Amino acid sequence: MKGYTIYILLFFLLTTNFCYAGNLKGKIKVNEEGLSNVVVYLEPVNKGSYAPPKEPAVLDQKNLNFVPHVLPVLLGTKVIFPNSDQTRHSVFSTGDVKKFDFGTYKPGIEKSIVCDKPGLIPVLCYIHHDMSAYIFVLETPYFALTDESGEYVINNLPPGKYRLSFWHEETKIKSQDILIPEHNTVTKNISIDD
Amino acid sequence: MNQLLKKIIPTLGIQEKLTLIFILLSTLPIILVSIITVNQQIEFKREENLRDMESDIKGLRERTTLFLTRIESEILLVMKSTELNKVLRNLETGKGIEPDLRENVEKEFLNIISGNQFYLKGSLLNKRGKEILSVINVGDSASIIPKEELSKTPKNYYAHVVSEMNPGEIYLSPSEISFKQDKFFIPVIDFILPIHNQNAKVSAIVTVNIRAEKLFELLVPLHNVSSKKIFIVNGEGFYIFHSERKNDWKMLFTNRFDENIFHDYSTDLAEKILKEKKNTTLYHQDRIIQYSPIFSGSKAVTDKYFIVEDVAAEMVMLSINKLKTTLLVVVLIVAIISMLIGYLTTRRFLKPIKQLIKGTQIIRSGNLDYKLEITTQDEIRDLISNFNQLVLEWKNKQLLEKEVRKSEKLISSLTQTATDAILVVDVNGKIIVWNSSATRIFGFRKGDVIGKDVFSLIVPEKEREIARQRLVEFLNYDSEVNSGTTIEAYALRKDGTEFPAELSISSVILDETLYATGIIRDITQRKKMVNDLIEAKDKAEVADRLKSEFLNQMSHEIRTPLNGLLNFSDFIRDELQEGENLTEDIDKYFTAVRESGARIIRTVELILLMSEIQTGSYENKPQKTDIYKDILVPLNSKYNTDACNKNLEFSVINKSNFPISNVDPGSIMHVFSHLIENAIKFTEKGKVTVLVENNHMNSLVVSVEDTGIGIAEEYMPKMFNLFSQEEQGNSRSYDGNGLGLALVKKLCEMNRITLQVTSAKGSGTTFRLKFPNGDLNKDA
Repeated sequence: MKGYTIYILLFFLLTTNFCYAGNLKGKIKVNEEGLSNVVVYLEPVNKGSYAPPKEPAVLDQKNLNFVPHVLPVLLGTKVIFPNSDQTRHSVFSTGDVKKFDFGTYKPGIEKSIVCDKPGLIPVLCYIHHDMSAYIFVLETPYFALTDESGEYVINNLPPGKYRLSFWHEETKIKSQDILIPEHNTVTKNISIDD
Repeated sequence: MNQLLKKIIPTLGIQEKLTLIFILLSTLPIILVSIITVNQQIEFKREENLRDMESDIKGLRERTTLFLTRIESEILLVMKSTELNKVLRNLETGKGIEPDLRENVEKEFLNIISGNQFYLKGSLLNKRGKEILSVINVGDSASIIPKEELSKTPKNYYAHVVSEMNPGEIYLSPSEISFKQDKFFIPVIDFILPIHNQNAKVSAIVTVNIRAEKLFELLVPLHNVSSKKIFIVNGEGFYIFHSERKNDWKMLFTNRFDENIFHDYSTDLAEKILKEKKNTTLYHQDRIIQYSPIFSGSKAVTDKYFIVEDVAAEMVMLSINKLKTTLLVVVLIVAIISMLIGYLTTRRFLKPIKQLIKGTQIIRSGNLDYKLEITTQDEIRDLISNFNQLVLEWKNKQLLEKEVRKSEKLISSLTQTATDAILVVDVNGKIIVWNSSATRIFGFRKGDVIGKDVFSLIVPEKEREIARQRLVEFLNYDSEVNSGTTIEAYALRKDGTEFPAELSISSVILDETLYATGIIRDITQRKKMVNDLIEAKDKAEVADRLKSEFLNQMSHEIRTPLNGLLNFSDFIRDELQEGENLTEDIDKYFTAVRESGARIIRTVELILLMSEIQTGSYENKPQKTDIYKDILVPLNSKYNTDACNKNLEFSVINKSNFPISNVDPGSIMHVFSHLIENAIKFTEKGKVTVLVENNHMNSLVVSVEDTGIGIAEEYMPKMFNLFSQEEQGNSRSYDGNGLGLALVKKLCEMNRITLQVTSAKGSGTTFRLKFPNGDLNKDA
């Protein structure tokens, strides 16, 4: 039975990938080194509205760090802030997009927000001054975050015209138009010099 | 309290009240002085304590400022160095920092950080929070963190804090630092100082992590902390420093249960402390809490600080409590002394009053003879003296009242039981008293007449005005003279009928008012009776006269012809005798005629006498009569012949030396005539003796004794009845009309002579007459 399931899944994956949608992948480099925590997102030229996922996105706190450091979400997504640390945290944000201050709370307690406005939400902790995170609220479901090696993949893109953007906490957003064809994977590598 | 006093005070006696006043008067000044002293002391102590706390907090502020100024000046000194200025310029222009320059700056930082054991770490950040260089001071030595090990990501927090700061401000923030190699957190206070360029814009940020533990040890004077709690909390209430919980120091924000002010204080109080903007003192339950915000400058709740000093009020009040106890003891002693004095004094004063109370109780129980003994010389003596006098007067009054009641009861009883109507009216005729007989006689009920006019009720209309006038006259002029006079008048009943009444009237003065008392008797019956009597008397008198006339007529009509017959029969006999024609036989006939005629006359005389007695027309005239000489001696000579004719011995013997009695001589003559005649008549042989003597009581007794046939015992009760003889009918052996003894008895009764008969059939009879011992003198 297990074997069958895998085959069926593979079948669906292949058919969706290869039959209708296109894919985008690439690598972001700074000074020839892969740059992590870059948000890569595609905004269709013909804007649509997308239902947020039912499952909340998680911004956890572990070993005096927010995990992940950057969290891109679709507009309307609920983000939960569990405290998986040994100590209290005092999570807050003072930005324009979403102001909140959970106050100091114990390990095991979970707080949450709903990202109801697009934009960047810087997240900080009053107690641990080295901690910082970003929630990037996007109006498109087509986004990815670069890994340690700076690579990203966005699959299942409906073919068509998009505006491709890159965001990193130390750079400005850079954008360009891109066409995603049917049954094809587009590779887009970006190189940023310091 | 008021209610309680209102309840208790009336139940207290005079002694208790006076004692209470004594206690109050003596203790009140002491209590007042004590209260004032204690209050002053409390105020003083509080102020002292507050001053202490204020100075603690002030000292903390001063030390903090001094400490911060020191760090600032150290850092600013470094900042002013040429190397660092170069670095800052490079940072602004975006140029890299040359290794040599970097090394120099790092060394300067190292100097600062290593020179002070309070510093854990010092960093230079660019304006976005990215670490440029860092020096760490762990263990015994400070070291520079190599460039490769510096954080790759900017420290947004510092950039964020700095963006909200004004130039010249320092930011202090509690934090924890954990080093990768260590499992524990080190609590720190972050010192954040923005570096500004010439355009007053932030060009870099210096952060120093100060070891919290050491910092607060320096800042908070821990002497004397045993008596008070000193702690610093952040705006969320977390203990940043706590003088009693230093052992938990390494877990500032880690999992502790009692790390928050909300854990130890009520929510209200905790919130009050965390919202305060200035130095404040609070008396909460038994504690004095003083608190104040410190390290001011941050807008974030987490980075606000409050220092709190909490002292048990008891600690402050310890000496005051001692003072209070001493004063309380003094007050109590004074109260007890004054209570004793009050008790003794009031007892002395109240002794006569208590005697008075006891006396009144004794007197109330009925002993009116009890007299209170006077023992004081003050007003009480007058009171007791008056009281005694009062009791005496009361006793007399009671006796008087008793008598009055008795007399009233008697009078009331008399009035109510009297068969006559008794009325009392005032001068206007208003009825005051009306007894039950008055109701019966007049028909008016008492309730209907009291207060009404007596004249319009019971006096016939035509008499009314006169009666009214008479009453006024009587009361005003005549009452003394005419009191008790009786008049007859007509009175009016309720039903309008009039009746003859007899009124006795007298006057009486009650409470200076004149009243008339009237006793009214209905004399209708009496009047009728009197009238009847008069009428009967008149009738009787007429009948008597007719009867007398008849009898006189009768006796005349019988005696006259009878005397004629007898006289003429005597003439005939005498004629015959003269003619010698009188034979013995014819003489016998004449004797029979004479005897029969004499008998008729005698009978008529007896009848007349009897009828006279019965009609009361017989005149019995008692007078001194010598029974022997005037009565018996003549009778002796009268009946001697008759006795001789029958061969009887007849004798009259007088044994009394004073045979005189106050009797009617005619009646007595009749009585003895009859008795002697009877004795001779019923005696055939023997003797008839009349004996006059005095009995042992010296009464005159005359007995007539015969030796005749005697009287049967069964006849004795009837012997004095009219027309009675022992032998009835034609067979009787002795003639007689039966009037004799009845007449004797009547005549004896009329003359108060006791008549006694002793007899036995065949052996004779004795009549004994006892004459009354009258008012006779022997001389008369």
